[in-house]
Amino acid sequence: MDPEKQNPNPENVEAVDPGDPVDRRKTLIQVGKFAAYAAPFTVLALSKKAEAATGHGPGKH
Amino acid sequence: MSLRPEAFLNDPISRLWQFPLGDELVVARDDVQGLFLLNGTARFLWEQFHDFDHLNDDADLARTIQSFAARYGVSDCLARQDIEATLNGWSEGLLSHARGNGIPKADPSSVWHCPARNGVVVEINCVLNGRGFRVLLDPGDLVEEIAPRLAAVAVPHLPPDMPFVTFGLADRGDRVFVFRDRVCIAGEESAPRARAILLQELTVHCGPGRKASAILHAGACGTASDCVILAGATHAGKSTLCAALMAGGFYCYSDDSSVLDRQFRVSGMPFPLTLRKSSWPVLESRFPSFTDSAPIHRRSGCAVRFLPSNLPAKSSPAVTARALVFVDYRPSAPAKLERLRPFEALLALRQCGFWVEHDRGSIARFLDWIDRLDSYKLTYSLIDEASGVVSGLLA
Repeated sequence: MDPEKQNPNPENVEAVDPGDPVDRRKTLIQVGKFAAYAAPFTVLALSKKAEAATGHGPGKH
Repeated sequence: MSLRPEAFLNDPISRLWQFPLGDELVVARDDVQGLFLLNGTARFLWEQFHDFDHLNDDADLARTIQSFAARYGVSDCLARQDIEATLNGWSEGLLSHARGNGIPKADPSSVWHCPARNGVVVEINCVLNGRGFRVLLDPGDLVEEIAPRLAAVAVPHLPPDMPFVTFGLADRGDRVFVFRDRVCIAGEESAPRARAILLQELTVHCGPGRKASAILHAGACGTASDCVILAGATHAGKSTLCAALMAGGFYCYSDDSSVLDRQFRVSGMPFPLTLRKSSWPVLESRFPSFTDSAPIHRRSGCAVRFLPSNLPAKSSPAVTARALVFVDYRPSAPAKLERLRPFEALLALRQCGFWVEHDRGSIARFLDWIDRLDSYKLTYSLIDEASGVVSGLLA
């Protein structure tokens, strides 16, 4: 994994000013929570009746 | 940057519905049959763009990058890279100006091609849960595919006073069309897919509301009142596990499609389980007559045998789902049950296959059901261990 994605940078936390103390606390917690940063992703889950019986995942033959 | 969600939002070509789910977000377009699943970081970006009244210049984008970098403790460079990738992805999918997603819709004008009773067709009459059905099939592969599945519910003649629904399946070479009372409801690329649609429709029309909320590519086994839904892609081991649970005294409500009624109960499907050759050895001791007497059929290049369901055709009630379990057979793997968050369950359903009625209210109810339901991933290699785990969930 990209080490940049693993290590939160405290300087960045200080760089923002969320204003509200609750928001600020949330920001700090979130940084801790996302120490292993997950890159944003968006996937489309198709909704189809026949797929609901035959599947379209890796196991499909 | 030219790719901006607000460009879509200011000039929408379709409606967007948003559904928060835990830390993540589900978004649907009214013209795309599916659900867009946004993880937590993507949701943060989505909400940034929605919370800003104006995101019209590079300064706004720079602020978003800075905010993102600070929130997740990453460099501005990485934040910019990931935000741009996300916006590019949205412009090609979630926020694309192209309508629809290529899923063909049934053409009601195909009504004239519906197999007719006075034509060259094979007719199978069935009674399920006290409701009558007449199935008309073009001769050939469709009969081979469907007739064994309906054997347990077939009757020589429908009772004269019993109203019935007629289904017709027509093989037109490149597609198999499914008709309900002479109206085309599906056009599928193969006989197995058309068979799946037919069995789902028969099940749906047994219920009092005659409508399904959702259909999962999943088996379901349980007691007279509850069940565990066993989801998985093809070859994940669903049917084998269902058969083993059936041998252990549980009802098998379905081995391939779990039809969820308006209350999200699993409807009973008293059709035979399809078991591939690889699962026959582990079922020999559980069903001694199975390997001796069940005929062998060919399905999609595989040898299969059918194992009769233990649900009564006359009365197969819908039951409450206790849990949704994604089964994953792995040679030599010890049985392991891991809890999934609702978003993870949706990602797993994406791999397995599912359908949900595509309107805002139905999707909201479906996601609420997923949110409340316990979901797990079950990895296993030994069928007894897997059966034990599922039994434990039903205890």
